[in-house]
Amino acid sequence: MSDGAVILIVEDDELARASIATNLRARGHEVDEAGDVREALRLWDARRPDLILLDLGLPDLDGQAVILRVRREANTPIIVVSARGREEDRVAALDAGADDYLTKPFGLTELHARMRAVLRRAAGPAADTEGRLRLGPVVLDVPRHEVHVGETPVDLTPREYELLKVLLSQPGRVVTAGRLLRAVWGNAYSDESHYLHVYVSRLRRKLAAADASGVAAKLIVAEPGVGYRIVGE
Amino acid sequence: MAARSVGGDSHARPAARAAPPYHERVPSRLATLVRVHRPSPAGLALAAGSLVAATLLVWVLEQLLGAPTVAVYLLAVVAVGMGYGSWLAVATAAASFLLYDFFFVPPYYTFAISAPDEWVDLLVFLVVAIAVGRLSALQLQRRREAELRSAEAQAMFAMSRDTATAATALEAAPLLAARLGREAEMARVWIGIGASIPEERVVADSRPGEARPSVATRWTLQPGAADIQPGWIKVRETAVYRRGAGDGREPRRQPRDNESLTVMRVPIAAGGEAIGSLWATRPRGAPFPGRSHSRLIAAAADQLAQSVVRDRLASEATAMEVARQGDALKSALLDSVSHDLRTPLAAIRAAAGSLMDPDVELNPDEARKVADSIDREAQRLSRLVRNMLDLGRIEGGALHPSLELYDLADLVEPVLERVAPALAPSTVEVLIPAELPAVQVDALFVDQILTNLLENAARYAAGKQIRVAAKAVSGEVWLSVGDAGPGVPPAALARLFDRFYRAQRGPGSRSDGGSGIGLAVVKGLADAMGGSAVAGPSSLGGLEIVVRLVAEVEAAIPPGTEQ
Repeated sequence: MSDGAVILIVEDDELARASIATNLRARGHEVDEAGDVREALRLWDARRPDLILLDLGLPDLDGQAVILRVRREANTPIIVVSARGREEDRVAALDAGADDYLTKPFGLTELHARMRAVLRRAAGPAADTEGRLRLGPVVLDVPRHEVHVGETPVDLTPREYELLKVLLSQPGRVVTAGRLLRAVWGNAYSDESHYLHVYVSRLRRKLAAADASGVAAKLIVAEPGVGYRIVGE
Repeated sequence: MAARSVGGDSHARPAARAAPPYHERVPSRLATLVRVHRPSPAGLALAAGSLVAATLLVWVLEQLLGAPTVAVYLLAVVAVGMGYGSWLAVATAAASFLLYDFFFVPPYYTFAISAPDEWVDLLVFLVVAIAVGRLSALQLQRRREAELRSAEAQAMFAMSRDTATAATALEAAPLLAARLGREAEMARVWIGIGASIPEERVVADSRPGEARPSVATRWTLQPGAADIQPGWIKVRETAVYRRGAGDGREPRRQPRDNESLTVMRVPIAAGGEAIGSLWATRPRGAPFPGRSHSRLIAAAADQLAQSVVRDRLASEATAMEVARQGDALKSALLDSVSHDLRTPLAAIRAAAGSLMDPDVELNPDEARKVADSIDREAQRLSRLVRNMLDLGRIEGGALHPSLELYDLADLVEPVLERVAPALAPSTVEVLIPAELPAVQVDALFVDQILTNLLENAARYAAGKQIRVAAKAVSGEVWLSVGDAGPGVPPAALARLFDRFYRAQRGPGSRSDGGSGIGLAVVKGLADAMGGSAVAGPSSLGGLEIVVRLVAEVEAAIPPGTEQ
């Protein structure tokens, strides 16, 4: 894990914020704490943190305001925290540019895993110098329009190829169903998520069939009600 | 300006009233009967006709028998008396006396009587004729009264049936207004509901759409108008129909009949509380209505009052029942979950306490173990809260599944990964065939369903095998969770999905019986997605719950979309 990252925690519940902050400091991070949107934006301007942990329900404004402001200026990873039962808020936050989300209550182990993933994405470019997207054993060669798992070529339909490309280009990030549909099928299809899951499922099966280790099968994880995540490791 | 007589049964009728024909519509039977019989042309014609006939008959009999028979005239008297009442019968008797005297008593063609015994005969005849006439008239009156009572009773019955068959007072009001218009001979009847006259809202009108006389203000200004006595008010029509009537600027003279309107107000009240008013107008220029009509109107007002009271009682009862059921649900929920809430809380406090205790030296391994138990108990609490919230939404009808097509395996896997540690020491076997039609579900619902089923299985089949299986069955995909636990007696299977129900299971199940919420939530969520949940015995020996999910229709993905 990238030690010494500056992390901004935006959370109005002091107890929750303090426990997370203590834990992150103990792990060698620098932590800024904000209880509302105003303070969060002030700290963002002052320090430009490496990662933002953002609770959406804040006393002064909706946490969404922070995402919009940060995304105008930087690509800093944002992990959104929300209570269950507010799936729409979550999707809206992800669509606005948040990278991942956690549902309250969550465990710290889970938080660390998500933080690692988004920090890694922020650290390096998605494609290598030859224009290849790589994730675990899966390699997607953009110039050649080819996909390999290990040494095995995988035969994908154009839609499946596009799906995989979109997902691989943002590892560690949760991609909402709406985004995937817009990217692969076009703007007109952003609400027709009906078949998306079936396509993803087929793509996953093709990857799994080409990989004896079983790693490729678990690269794409469904986030029920939200979209998909490409596991970033 | 306005004459007002108080008292519903008031018969006070302004004297010397010329009665122009005021029946604008075909009068009802009751209305015909009630009309006071005045000397009608038909009555006079009958009287004259029967007198002529009797005179001729007496003449014929005199010619045949040689002696006149005065008794024949009694036939005429009886006929008139039975047909047209006492007044005309007495007149007929007198006329008979004179006619007989004139034609048949010597000296003929004069009213003089020569023989004294003729005097006696004729006087006796007169007395008998008057008596007979009155008796037969009395007969007529009795018959009329009986018919009147019967008509009134029928109208009353019809009104009470109107109110009884209408579901609410609001439905009954128009029926009553229309019926009063017909039966009580009212030009117009309308019903206002409100605590006082100005607050009244008209809920029924026998002539909707026409301007209503704005009598309300005037009425309120009348002395004693707030009392609950019914009353009549006579108002000038021009004033009545003018807005702002009652400002006292109308000319101060008694209105003439043909420009006046008689308006009646009968308060609708129950238990001394004003509910509204029943308003009625007489046809233009008509006199105050009779006793029978007033009774009908008063009865209609009473019926309405009862109907309103009945409505109120019914809605109070409904509200109480709703509140009672809500309370029952809440207290059952609290009873049911209080143990489940307290147990993990107690564990968490105990663990945190030992971490905080300065006298307890824990090595890092021990400390981690204690912290781990806090974490697990907190997760347990979290799941319980989630189920409680879901149950609340199911009960409140607030579930809105967003149905999409999923590969069932994709949904099952993350749940197993997440829940598996909590299922130990049970082992989970997964049997999901690769070629399964996609299911049309809300992914979060399936997640919750499977989580609950696995936890339920682990609770009762601790340390034994649990099997998650799926198969396609005619348009559905059946997702089942079976266990090798003690199972549930067949009699209890049907109640298994009832909320707060906890089946008695045999030995081998864990001591905490569960909250009785999990399976109710499973069923609620499955139903909301158009599926269902059933319980039965598992081939593993324990309980099996099958959740039936709607499957994708074959070839639902058009090949063309695949380019």
